Amino acid sequence: MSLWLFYLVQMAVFAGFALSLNLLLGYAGQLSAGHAGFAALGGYTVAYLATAQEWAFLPALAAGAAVAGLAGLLIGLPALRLSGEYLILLTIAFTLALLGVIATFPELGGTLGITDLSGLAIFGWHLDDQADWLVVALAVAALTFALCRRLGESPFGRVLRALREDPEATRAHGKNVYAAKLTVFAITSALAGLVGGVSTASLSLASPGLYALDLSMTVIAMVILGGAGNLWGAVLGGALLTLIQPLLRQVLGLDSAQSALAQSAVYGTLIVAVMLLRPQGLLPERGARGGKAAPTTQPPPAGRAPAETDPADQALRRAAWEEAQVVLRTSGVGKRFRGITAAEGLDLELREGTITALIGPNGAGKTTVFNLLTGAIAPDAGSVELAGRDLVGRRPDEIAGLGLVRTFQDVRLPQRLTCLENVMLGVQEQAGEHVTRLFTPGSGVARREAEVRAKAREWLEFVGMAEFADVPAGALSYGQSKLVSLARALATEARVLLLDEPASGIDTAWVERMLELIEDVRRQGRTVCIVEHNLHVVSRLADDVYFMELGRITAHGTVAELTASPRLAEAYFGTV
Amino acid sequence: MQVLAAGGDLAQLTASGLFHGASYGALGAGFALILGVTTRFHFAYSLTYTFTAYAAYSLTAEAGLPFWPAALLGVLAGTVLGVLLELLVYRRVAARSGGDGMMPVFVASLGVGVAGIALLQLVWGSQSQPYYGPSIEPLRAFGASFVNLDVYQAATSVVLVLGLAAALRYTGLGRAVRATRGNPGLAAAQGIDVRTVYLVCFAAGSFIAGVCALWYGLQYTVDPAMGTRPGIYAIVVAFLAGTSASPLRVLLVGLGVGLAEAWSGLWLSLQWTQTTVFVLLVGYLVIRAAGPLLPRRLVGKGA
Amino acid sequence: MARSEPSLLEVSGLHAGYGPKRIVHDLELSVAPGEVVGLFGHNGAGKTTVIRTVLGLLPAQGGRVAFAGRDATGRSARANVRAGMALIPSERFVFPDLSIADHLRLGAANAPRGMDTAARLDLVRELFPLLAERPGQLAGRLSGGQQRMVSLGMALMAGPRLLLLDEPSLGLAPGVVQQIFDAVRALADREGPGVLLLEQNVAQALRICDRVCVLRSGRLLLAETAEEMRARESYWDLF
Repeated sequence: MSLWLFYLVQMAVFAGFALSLNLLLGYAGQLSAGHAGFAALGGYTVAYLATAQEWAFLPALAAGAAVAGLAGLLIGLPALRLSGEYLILLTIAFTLALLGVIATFPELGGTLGITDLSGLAIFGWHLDDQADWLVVALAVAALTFALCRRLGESPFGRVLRALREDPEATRAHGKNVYAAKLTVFAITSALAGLVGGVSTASLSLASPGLYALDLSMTVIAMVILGGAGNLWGAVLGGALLTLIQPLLRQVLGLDSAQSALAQSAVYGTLIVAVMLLRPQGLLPERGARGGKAAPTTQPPPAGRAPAETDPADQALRRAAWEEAQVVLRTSGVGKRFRGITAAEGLDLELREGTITALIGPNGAGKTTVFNLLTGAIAPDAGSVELAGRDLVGRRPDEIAGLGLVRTFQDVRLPQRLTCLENVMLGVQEQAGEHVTRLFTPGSGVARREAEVRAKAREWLEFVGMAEFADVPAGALSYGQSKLVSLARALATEARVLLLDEPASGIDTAWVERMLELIEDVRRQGRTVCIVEHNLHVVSRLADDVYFMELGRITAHGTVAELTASPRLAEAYFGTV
Repeated sequence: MQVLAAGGDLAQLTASGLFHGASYGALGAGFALILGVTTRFHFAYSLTYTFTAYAAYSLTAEAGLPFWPAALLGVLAGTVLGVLLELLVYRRVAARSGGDGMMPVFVASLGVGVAGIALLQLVWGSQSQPYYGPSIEPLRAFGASFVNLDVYQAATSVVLVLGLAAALRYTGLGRAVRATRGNPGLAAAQGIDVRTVYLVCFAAGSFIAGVCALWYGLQYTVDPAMGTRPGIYAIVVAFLAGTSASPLRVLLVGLGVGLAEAWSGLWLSLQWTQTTVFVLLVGYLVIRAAGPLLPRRLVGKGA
Repeated sequence: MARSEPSLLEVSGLHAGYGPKRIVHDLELSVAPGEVVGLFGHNGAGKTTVIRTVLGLLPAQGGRVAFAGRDATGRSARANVRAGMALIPSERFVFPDLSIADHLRLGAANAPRGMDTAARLDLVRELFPLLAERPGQLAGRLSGGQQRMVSLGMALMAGPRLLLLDEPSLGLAPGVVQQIFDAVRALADREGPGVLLLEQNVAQALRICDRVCVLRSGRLLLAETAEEMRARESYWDLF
């Protein structure tokens, strides 16, 4: 009986480990092999404080979580700036180094560990047997579940799920990706420390062997088996894999050493089998299960009759352009890569409520201009002013927040988010994206979320994609996803929109719909700049055109003026 | 905490650093070849290492084969294991996940490693096994004492790295490998069979790991955990050198890591020296992470 | 310029693109031996998608590709290269850490059996003398124009029957462009491979083309002789 109680405690403990790792791996897409190390920090902190320093259990447990969280923060600071493999690498190295070092401290019991941990109590409740520990472990697992759920299923969690697939596009829509990754990693590490502390206390033991790297692998196996991105999956994975050992011992009659090995063999084999056969795990992530869109071949119906390109109309628009105020101005912007000039002396003006086009031969540096304006690349020289505010040196997410937002040539919608979630991602200033406010009563997170949802729905309606709100972006046709990405950019409410080849790669019928929408956006008084190679699109939309060659602006005027120039024709089509 | 006395130990530590470093370098070169060309984060590299040692050990101690044929067969078995992992696991996992599938492949590799090491123990037991080959003779030079196996091991590592570098440079297959590493898209357009190139890289990397494992087993013992540290060192050395670096460069970095680790023994106790690699890694990551903040940032795509 | 000879490359009803994204719709196109066909159109019109599909780097979403009288739809790039196709991309067209000589050897590995490699090498070096000068130089260290020549040299070492050239003029000085185009024309006249030339530098390309096709947003807008196209006053309305 007490043996099964012991396994129940273990199940709760491992469910806690798996839940905390799932928040990181499933939601944010970052893999840490450091759960063993963080659990060791929590466990040793509890054991040391409770024995040598005679702290009470709860304060010691809190300290353990704090130490682990701090270690996670320090490791994340460099590793999370880089691609995912560095976090794996650094957490492995950290765990090995930590375990090697812990054993050198006589205060921590050397290689034997701290073995005299007993007599713990919570407010006079003495935690003597496994039944008591089962209550504690379940409480901590439930707390972990609640925390992970609150974080994962919030606007903050939406940012995590977006950056998991496309950090650059997430940043470009005003989200501080690095801060979000760092926050979630520190929280995950702290939770690992918390659960590690409970585990240690329930076993009355903190030893290096308890936290070998295998522990990290076990927890990863649990998350992968249960289903990354599904919290119940983590519970299921944690429970199932914990049960393997008693089953092996009771049913097959293996001794403890053999059953431990057989257990590892099963873990490993299960990971491989899941990756090969069912990468989404036993319980797949919520959004990923969503049905397929019926990919329509025709674009959603236009709001009103299509506007023809009328010369008189164009003249009128040009007159309006002359009157319009400059919203965004660059002067002398330049950038060199390894001595090669990517851009030089760029002087651009975008006027309120007008459409400006950048054209020029291949390799002229048009997309580079977008990268320079939005902070994806920092200019070496010059200034970029948006409504009088200098943008140079700011991060892409800050620039997006200030009202300058771009779209990408290749769309870049996180595939496992629904269309509505994708558009919600565009909305700025969401209370629920701040972790502290998620846990502050009365901070208006739910109210704001309802507003964000309503706003996003409006923009989806605007592009005619409202009926696809709950469809994952991965199920859309290319034309549909271009419309959703436009809605996402519009939802930022940015004054200035930079659209990178909005009409490329989509069929003629969709091009027409897209152009109408962009004209509507102009009518709303927003400022648009497009990079586009199809000159028919340019002459239909653009009020003003810049011609670029080799990273420089070499002409400026209307489409008619530019195409009348023999020199520009030579630049575009070459000379004999 | 006992700290080794400085001074006379320098020569000893230097020798030991170079001997260890040579093997880190060779292992790193093998790992970098796999990661740099195929983009597979082959965490089970340490499994092929350990498996080779066990295979050779059991062919000698249990099947009674003479040392050299058993060693050769063991290395071949390890090589086949590496190739099979790519063929049966990584390729399929990557294809299923779409994209380069770095993370899914790593996770699968983790599973293979965990399961493989456990299976090795179920077959051969968890205790370490003595593995005998050429007789051990003590040597002394430049104020340091070591054994003949140290020299053989280091020499083999250097020969393997030089051989790999020469094969990459002078053979047709080596050209195809370098081409695939430098520009996979163009390699496919040139009709290079990229899948075969991947298999070749797994074979070569596993071969190197296997040879290193045999020396390790001869110098110490064959045990289930023998691959953990060499595996981590291989990965760290490969990252520090750059995964598309030439094998010679990886070797130099390996020697550097070996020396840094050994010399840290002048100030630190033995258990603390293993933090050296962690410190090196953190230092490297901090520099890499701060890189984008420096003015000479090189990012972005052209037009 | 009439096409008396049977086609080398015959593309009919081709649909192509990436995954759910369809870029090329219902394309008809042919190239005869010794013929240089220009494939023009604005960026994103689908030119590169066409040749990637022809070579087998992308699966066709519909339609048929025939090469040298045989169905080549869905054949692997490797098989097509062995059968005599050669593609040079518009960007990243060399292997940066391979030498010039390595590139030529890689190209020669795709030559049909029995081809005289030494004679081939002489021909390539005659067209691009640079390649003889510094065979050990790493391609990554060369200028853009020199890299272009290396990539062409590599393609020609295989003795291809069909050259698929993606914007060979991109980023090059006018003089170099002229030199490269002249070499392509000379080769087509001398050895008779068909050439499909993707270009934005219409004026230069027209000098060496026999026929042209223009794509707009993935559809064939126009197919005419180079002479007819040269007679146009402006190309703006085609882009």
